[in-house]
Amino acid sequence: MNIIIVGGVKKARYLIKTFAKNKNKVVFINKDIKYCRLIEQEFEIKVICGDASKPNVFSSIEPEFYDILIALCPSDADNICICRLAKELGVKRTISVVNNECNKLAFKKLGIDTPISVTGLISTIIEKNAYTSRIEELVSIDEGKAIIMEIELDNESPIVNKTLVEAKLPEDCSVSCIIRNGNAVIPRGGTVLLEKDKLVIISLPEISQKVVKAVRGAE
Amino acid sequence: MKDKKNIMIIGSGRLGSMLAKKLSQGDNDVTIVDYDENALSDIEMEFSGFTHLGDATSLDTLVAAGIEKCDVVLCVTNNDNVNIFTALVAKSVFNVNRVVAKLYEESRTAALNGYDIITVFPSMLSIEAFHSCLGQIGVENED
Repeated sequence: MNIIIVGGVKKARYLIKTFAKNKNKVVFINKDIKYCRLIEQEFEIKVICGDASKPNVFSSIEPEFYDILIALCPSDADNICICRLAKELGVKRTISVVNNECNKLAFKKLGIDTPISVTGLISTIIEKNAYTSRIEELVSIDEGKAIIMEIELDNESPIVNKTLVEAKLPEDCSVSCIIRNGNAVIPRGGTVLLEKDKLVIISLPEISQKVVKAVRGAE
Repeated sequence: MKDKKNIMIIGSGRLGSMLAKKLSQGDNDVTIVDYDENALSDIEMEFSGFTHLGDATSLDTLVAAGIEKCDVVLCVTNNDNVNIFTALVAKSVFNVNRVVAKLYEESRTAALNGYDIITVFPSMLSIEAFHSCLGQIGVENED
Protein backbone atom coordinates (compact mmCIF):
# COMPACT_ATOMS: atom_id res chain seq x y z
CA MET A 1 0.00 0.00 0.00
CA ASN A 2 1.03 3.58 -0.54
CA ILE A 3 0.53 5.63 2.57
CA ILE A 4 0.91 9.33 3.40
CA ILE A 5 1.33 10.22 7.07
CA VAL A 6 0.86 13.86 8.05
CA GLY A 7 1.80 15.61 11.30
CA GLY A 8 2.21 13.97 14.66
CA VAL A 9 5.40 13.12 16.47
CA LYS A 10 5.46 9.90 18.49
CA LYS A 11 2.33 8.48 16.92
CA ALA A 12 3.72 9.22 13.47
CA ARG A 13 7.07 7.62 14.19
CA TYR A 14 5.43 4.47 15.46
CA LEU A 15 3.15 4.25 12.44
CA ILE A 16 6.08 4.80 10.06
CA LYS A 17 7.95 2.04 11.81
CA THR A 18 5.01 -0.35 11.49
CA PHE A 19 4.13 0.47 7.89
CA ALA A 20 7.67 0.78 6.50
CA LYS A 21 8.42 -2.72 7.81
CA ASN A 22 5.56 -4.26 5.84
CA LYS A 23 6.90 -3.17 2.45
CA ASN A 24 4.49 -0.30 2.10
CA LYS A 25 5.53 2.90 0.40
CA VAL A 26 5.36 5.58 3.06
CA VAL A 27 5.63 9.36 2.71
CA PHE A 28 5.85 11.55 5.80
CA ILE A 29 4.80 15.21 5.75
CA ASN A 30 5.46 17.49 8.71
CA LYS A 31 5.89 21.23 9.30
CA ASP A 32 8.73 20.79 11.77
CA ILE A 33 12.05 20.73 9.91
CA LYS A 34 13.97 19.24 12.85
CA TYR A 35 11.59 16.36 13.18
CA CYS A 36 11.60 15.79 9.42
CA ARG A 37 15.40 15.43 9.50
CA LEU A 38 15.21 12.97 12.36
CA ILE A 39 12.72 10.76 10.51
CA GLU A 40 14.79 11.01 7.34
CA GLN A 41 17.83 9.72 9.18
CA GLU A 42 16.02 6.87 10.83
CA PHE A 43 13.87 5.53 7.97
CA GLU A 44 14.35 5.11 4.28
CA ILE A 45 11.20 6.94 3.31
CA LYS A 46 10.38 10.16 1.50
CA VAL A 47 10.00 13.07 3.90
CA ILE A 48 8.42 16.38 2.89
CA CYS A 49 8.76 19.39 5.16
CA GLY A 50 5.72 21.60 4.71
CA ASP A 51 2.10 22.40 5.39
CA ALA A 52 -0.06 19.57 4.03
CA SER A 53 -3.13 21.78 3.84
CA LYS A 54 -1.49 23.50 0.84
CA PRO A 55 -1.61 21.71 -2.54
CA ASN A 56 1.98 22.57 -3.56
CA VAL A 57 3.30 20.34 -0.78
CA PHE A 58 2.02 17.36 -2.79
CA SER A 59 3.67 18.47 -6.02
CA SER A 60 6.69 16.19 -5.65
CA ILE A 61 4.56 13.05 -5.22
CA GLU A 62 1.58 11.84 -7.21
CA PRO A 63 -1.20 11.78 -4.63
CA GLU A 64 -3.58 9.86 -6.91
CA PHE A 65 -1.36 6.80 -6.49
CA TYR A 66 -1.75 6.77 -2.72
CA ASP A 67 -4.25 4.51 -0.97
CA ILE A 68 -4.41 6.20 2.42
CA LEU A 69 -3.63 9.52 4.04
CA ILE A 70 -3.39 9.53 7.83
CA ALA A 71 -3.74 12.95 9.50
CA LEU A 72 -2.32 13.20 13.03
CA CYS A 73 -2.22 16.97 13.66
CA PRO A 74 -3.22 18.35 17.06
CA SER A 75 -5.72 20.71 15.41
CA ASP A 76 -9.03 19.32 14.11
CA ALA A 77 -9.28 22.23 11.66
CA ASP A 78 -5.91 21.29 10.14
CA ASN A 79 -6.83 17.60 9.92
CA ILE A 80 -10.11 18.35 8.14
CA CYS A 81 -8.42 20.68 5.65
CA ILE A 82 -5.63 18.16 4.97
CA CYS A 83 -8.00 15.22 4.47
CA ARG A 84 -10.35 17.16 2.21
CA LEU A 85 -7.48 18.46 0.09
CA ALA A 86 -6.03 14.94 -0.18
CA LYS A 87 -9.37 13.62 -1.40
CA GLU A 88 -9.53 16.39 -4.00
CA LEU A 89 -6.04 15.44 -5.16
CA GLY A 90 -7.07 11.82 -5.61
CA VAL A 91 -5.96 10.01 -2.45
CA LYS A 92 -8.35 7.09 -2.02
CA ARG A 93 -9.00 6.99 1.74
CA THR A 94 -8.48 9.39 4.59
CA ILE A 95 -8.01 8.55 8.24
CA SER A 96 -7.77 11.24 10.88
CA VAL A 97 -7.44 11.57 14.60
CA VAL A 98 -10.26 13.59 16.16
CA ASN A 99 -8.75 15.63 18.98
CA ASN A 100 -11.95 17.13 20.27
CA GLU A 101 -14.61 14.50 20.88
CA CYS A 102 -17.48 16.88 20.10
CA ASN A 103 -16.16 17.42 16.55
CA LYS A 104 -16.69 13.83 15.55
CA LEU A 105 -19.93 14.64 13.75
CA ALA A 106 -18.12 17.20 11.59
CA PHE A 107 -15.54 14.61 10.46
CA LYS A 108 -18.30 12.27 9.40
CA LYS A 109 -20.35 14.92 7.62
CA LEU A 110 -17.30 16.17 5.76
CA GLY A 111 -16.42 12.79 4.31
CA ILE A 112 -13.39 11.75 6.35
CA ASP A 113 -13.48 7.97 5.83
CA THR A 114 -12.23 6.90 9.24
CA PRO A 115 -12.27 9.43 12.09
CA ILE A 116 -10.56 8.06 15.18
CA SER A 117 -11.34 9.77 18.45
CA VAL A 118 -8.53 9.00 20.80
CA THR A 119 -10.17 10.55 23.86
CA GLY A 120 -13.29 8.50 23.22
CA LEU A 121 -11.35 5.26 22.96
CA ILE A 122 -9.31 5.94 26.08
CA SER A 123 -12.31 6.93 28.16
CA THR A 124 -14.23 3.80 27.14
CA ILE A 125 -11.32 1.62 28.17
CA ILE A 126 -10.80 3.41 31.48
CA GLU A 127 -14.50 3.30 32.27
CA LYS A 128 -14.78 -0.41 31.60
CA ASN A 129 -11.62 -1.20 33.51
CA ALA A 130 -12.60 0.84 36.52
CA TYR A 131 -14.83 -1.83 37.99
CA THR A 132 -12.59 -4.78 37.48
CA SER A 133 -8.89 -4.86 36.91
CA ARG A 134 -8.87 -8.46 35.75
CA ILE A 135 -10.36 -7.72 32.40
CA GLU A 136 -7.31 -7.85 30.24
CA GLU A 137 -8.35 -6.03 27.18
CA LEU A 138 -11.35 -4.25 25.84
CA VAL A 139 -12.08 -3.42 22.27
CA SER A 140 -15.02 -1.30 21.31
CA ILE A 141 -16.78 -2.17 18.05
CA ASP A 142 -18.42 0.46 15.87
CA GLU A 143 -18.12 3.16 18.53
CA GLY A 144 -19.27 1.09 21.44
CA LYS A 145 -22.23 -0.76 19.93
CA ALA A 146 -20.58 -3.97 21.12
CA ILE A 147 -17.42 -4.73 23.08
CA ILE A 148 -14.94 -7.55 23.14
CA MET A 149 -13.36 -8.39 26.49
CA GLU A 150 -10.91 -10.96 27.70
CA ILE A 151 -11.51 -12.38 31.17
CA GLU A 152 -9.34 -14.94 32.92
CA LEU A 153 -10.98 -17.65 35.07
CA ASP A 154 -9.59 -18.27 38.56
CA ASN A 155 -10.55 -20.97 41.04
CA GLU A 156 -13.26 -18.79 42.58
CA SER A 157 -15.08 -18.43 39.32
CA PRO A 158 -18.55 -20.03 39.47
CA ILE A 159 -18.30 -21.38 35.94
CA VAL A 160 -15.00 -23.28 36.26
CA ASN A 161 -15.36 -27.02 35.39
CA LYS A 162 -18.77 -26.41 33.85
CA THR A 163 -19.59 -26.71 30.19
CA LEU A 164 -20.41 -23.55 28.30
CA VAL A 165 -24.10 -24.57 28.25
CA GLU A 166 -24.10 -25.22 32.03
CA ALA A 167 -22.39 -21.88 32.66
CA LYS A 168 -25.62 -20.09 31.62
CA LEU A 169 -23.98 -16.81 30.74
CA PRO A 170 -26.31 -13.85 30.16
CA GLU A 171 -28.05 -13.47 26.82
CA ASP A 172 -26.58 -10.89 24.45
CA CYS A 173 -23.10 -12.18 25.03
CA SER A 174 -21.11 -14.93 23.40
CA VAL A 175 -17.81 -16.65 24.20
CA SER A 176 -16.06 -16.50 20.84
CA CYS A 177 -12.74 -18.00 21.80
CA ILE A 178 -10.87 -19.52 24.73
CA ILE A 179 -7.15 -19.00 25.17
CA ARG A 180 -5.91 -22.17 26.91
CA ASN A 181 -2.20 -22.81 27.53
CA GLY A 182 -1.39 -20.28 24.84
CA ASN A 183 -3.59 -21.96 22.24
CA ALA A 184 -6.84 -20.65 20.84
CA VAL A 185 -9.85 -22.96 21.21
CA ILE A 186 -13.15 -22.18 19.51
CA PRO A 187 -15.69 -23.34 22.11
CA ARG A 188 -18.93 -25.22 21.55
CA GLY A 189 -21.75 -25.75 24.02
CA GLY A 190 -20.10 -28.87 25.45
CA THR A 191 -16.64 -27.35 25.95
CA VAL A 192 -15.65 -27.52 29.64
CA LEU A 193 -14.27 -24.28 31.07
CA LEU A 194 -11.05 -24.66 33.08
CA GLU A 195 -9.16 -22.56 35.59
CA LYS A 196 -6.73 -20.11 33.91
CA ASP A 197 -8.73 -20.14 30.69
CA LYS A 198 -8.94 -16.73 29.14
CA LEU A 199 -12.40 -16.21 27.68
CA VAL A 200 -12.76 -13.83 24.77
CA ILE A 201 -16.32 -12.59 25.05
CA ILE A 202 -18.26 -10.37 22.75
CA SER A 203 -21.16 -8.59 24.43
CA LEU A 204 -23.46 -5.61 24.33
CA PRO A 205 -21.92 -2.82 26.39
CA GLU A 206 -24.90 -2.41 28.74
CA ILE A 207 -24.65 -5.98 30.04
CA SER A 208 -20.85 -6.13 30.25
CA GLN A 209 -20.87 -5.80 34.05
CA LYS A 210 -23.38 -8.64 34.31
CA VAL A 211 -21.13 -10.80 32.13
CA VAL A 212 -18.09 -10.06 34.27
CA LYS A 213 -20.06 -10.99 37.38
CA ALA A 214 -21.30 -14.24 35.85
CA VAL A 215 -17.80 -15.24 34.79
CA ARG A 216 -15.81 -14.16 37.81
CA GLY A 217 -18.43 -14.41 40.55
CA ALA A 218 -19.37 -11.54 42.87
CA GLU A 219 -16.30 -9.48 43.82
CA MET B 1 -35.27 47.70 3.21
CA LYS B 2 -33.31 44.51 3.72
CA ASP B 3 -34.42 41.87 6.19
CA LYS B 4 -32.91 41.77 9.62
CA LYS B 5 -30.43 38.90 9.74
CA ASN B 6 -28.98 36.72 12.45
CA ILE B 7 -25.23 36.86 11.82
CA MET B 8 -22.31 35.09 13.46
CA ILE B 9 -18.77 36.39 13.05
CA ILE B 10 -15.96 33.99 13.88
CA GLY B 11 -12.74 35.81 14.74
CA SER B 12 -12.49 39.13 16.49
CA GLY B 13 -9.44 40.53 14.74
CA ARG B 14 -9.39 43.84 12.91
CA LEU B 15 -11.68 42.65 10.14
CA GLY B 16 -14.04 40.70 12.40
CA SER B 17 -14.55 43.52 14.86
CA MET B 18 -15.08 46.14 12.14
CA LEU B 19 -17.64 43.91 10.46
CA ALA B 20 -19.34 43.30 13.80
CA LYS B 21 -19.74 47.01 14.49
CA LYS B 22 -20.99 47.77 11.00
CA LEU B 23 -23.46 44.91 10.89
CA SER B 24 -24.87 45.61 14.36
CA GLN B 25 -25.45 49.26 13.37
CA GLY B 26 -27.42 47.90 10.43
CA ASP B 27 -29.99 46.48 12.88
CA ASN B 28 -28.91 42.84 12.56
CA ASP B 29 -28.52 40.37 15.42
CA VAL B 30 -24.78 39.89 15.57
CA THR B 31 -22.75 37.46 17.66
CA ILE B 32 -18.96 37.53 17.53
CA VAL B 33 -16.93 34.53 18.69
CA ASP B 34 -13.27 34.48 19.69
CA TYR B 35 -11.13 32.55 22.17
CA ASP B 36 -9.18 35.67 23.11
CA GLU B 37 -10.84 37.62 25.91
CA ASN B 38 -8.87 40.77 25.12
CA ALA B 39 -9.90 40.74 21.48
CA LEU B 40 -13.53 40.56 22.54
CA SER B 41 -13.36 43.25 25.24
CA ASP B 42 -11.80 45.67 22.73
CA ILE B 43 -14.85 45.70 20.52
CA GLU B 44 -17.56 45.99 23.17
CA MET B 45 -17.39 49.82 23.21
CA GLU B 46 -19.13 50.49 19.91
CA PHE B 47 -20.89 47.19 19.47
CA SER B 48 -24.48 46.39 20.34
CA GLY B 49 -24.43 42.64 19.62
CA PHE B 50 -23.32 39.64 21.65
CA THR B 51 -19.79 38.47 22.29
CA HIS B 52 -19.08 34.81 22.93
CA LEU B 53 -15.81 33.65 24.44
CA GLY B 54 -14.78 30.21 23.22
CA ASP B 55 -12.93 28.05 20.70
CA ALA B 56 -14.88 28.17 17.45
CA THR B 57 -13.19 24.98 16.22
CA SER B 58 -15.26 23.07 18.77
CA LEU B 59 -18.82 22.30 17.69
CA ASP B 60 -20.22 22.77 21.21
CA THR B 61 -18.92 26.36 21.28
CA LEU B 62 -20.72 27.13 18.02
CA VAL B 63 -23.94 25.66 19.38
CA ALA B 64 -23.61 27.65 22.62
CA ALA B 65 -23.03 30.81 20.60
CA GLY B 66 -26.28 30.15 18.72
CA ILE B 67 -25.14 28.99 15.27
CA GLU B 68 -28.32 26.94 14.83
CA LYS B 69 -30.35 30.15 14.54
CA CYS B 70 -27.96 31.96 12.19
CA ASP B 71 -28.74 32.99 8.62
CA VAL B 72 -25.21 34.12 7.89
CA VAL B 73 -21.80 33.04 9.21
CA LEU B 74 -18.63 34.99 8.44
CA CYS B 75 -15.36 33.11 9.08
CA VAL B 76 -12.69 35.78 9.44
CA THR B 77 -10.00 34.55 11.85
CA ASN B 78 -6.32 34.92 11.01
CA ASN B 79 -6.00 31.19 10.33
CA ASP B 80 -7.10 29.91 6.92
CA ASN B 81 -7.65 26.37 8.12
CA VAL B 82 -9.84 27.56 11.00
CA ASN B 83 -11.88 29.61 8.53
CA ILE B 84 -12.24 26.62 6.20
CA PHE B 85 -13.16 24.29 9.07
CA THR B 86 -15.75 26.61 10.62
CA ALA B 87 -17.24 27.43 7.20
CA LEU B 88 -17.57 23.74 6.32
CA VAL B 89 -19.11 22.98 9.70
CA ALA B 90 -21.56 25.90 9.43
CA LYS B 91 -22.68 24.59 6.05
CA SER B 92 -22.64 20.82 6.51
CA VAL B 93 -23.54 20.34 10.17
CA PHE B 94 -25.71 23.39 10.88
CA ASN B 95 -27.16 24.11 7.38
CA VAL B 96 -26.45 27.83 7.61
CA ASN B 97 -27.90 29.60 4.59
CA ARG B 98 -24.99 31.91 3.68
CA VAL B 99 -21.39 31.25 4.67
CA VAL B 100 -18.41 33.43 3.81
CA ALA B 101 -14.77 32.52 4.50
CA LYS B 102 -11.75 34.78 4.32
CA LEU B 103 -8.64 33.09 2.96
CA TYR B 104 -5.12 34.46 2.68
CA GLU B 105 -4.07 31.72 0.32
CA GLU B 106 -6.15 30.98 -2.73
CA SER B 107 -4.73 27.49 -3.18
CA ARG B 108 -6.50 26.28 -0.05
CA THR B 109 -9.95 26.60 -1.65
CA ALA B 110 -9.70 22.98 -2.85
CA ALA B 111 -10.83 21.91 0.63
CA LEU B 112 -14.10 23.81 0.09
CA ASN B 113 -14.99 22.12 -3.20
CA GLY B 114 -18.56 20.87 -3.39
CA TYR B 115 -19.86 23.31 -0.76
CA ASP B 116 -21.70 26.55 -1.39
CA ILE B 117 -19.28 28.77 0.50
CA ILE B 118 -18.33 32.27 -0.63
CA THR B 119 -14.61 33.09 -0.42
CA VAL B 120 -12.93 36.46 0.04
CA PHE B 121 -9.21 36.91 -0.63
CA PRO B 122 -7.74 40.01 1.02
CA SER B 123 -4.50 39.73 -0.93
CA MET B 124 -6.31 39.68 -4.26
CA LEU B 125 -8.37 42.69 -3.22
CA SER B 126 -5.19 44.59 -2.29
CA ILE B 127 -3.58 43.72 -5.60
CA GLU B 128 -6.58 45.04 -7.49
CA ALA B 129 -6.51 48.25 -5.46
CA PHE B 130 -2.77 48.66 -6.03
CA HIS B 131 -3.18 47.96 -9.70
CA SER B 132 -5.70 50.74 -10.25
CA CYS B 133 -3.77 53.08 -7.99
CA LEU B 134 -0.53 52.48 -9.92
CA GLY B 135 -2.42 53.00 -13.16
CA GLN B 136 -3.65 56.37 -11.89
CA ILE B 137 -0.18 57.61 -11.01
CA GLY B 138 1.14 56.50 -14.37
CA VAL B 139 3.18 53.43 -13.40
CA GLU B 140 2.91 50.72 -16.00
CA ASN B 141 1.76 47.40 -14.57
CA GLU B 142 0.43 44.26 -16.17
CA ASP B 143 -3.18 43.09 -15.71
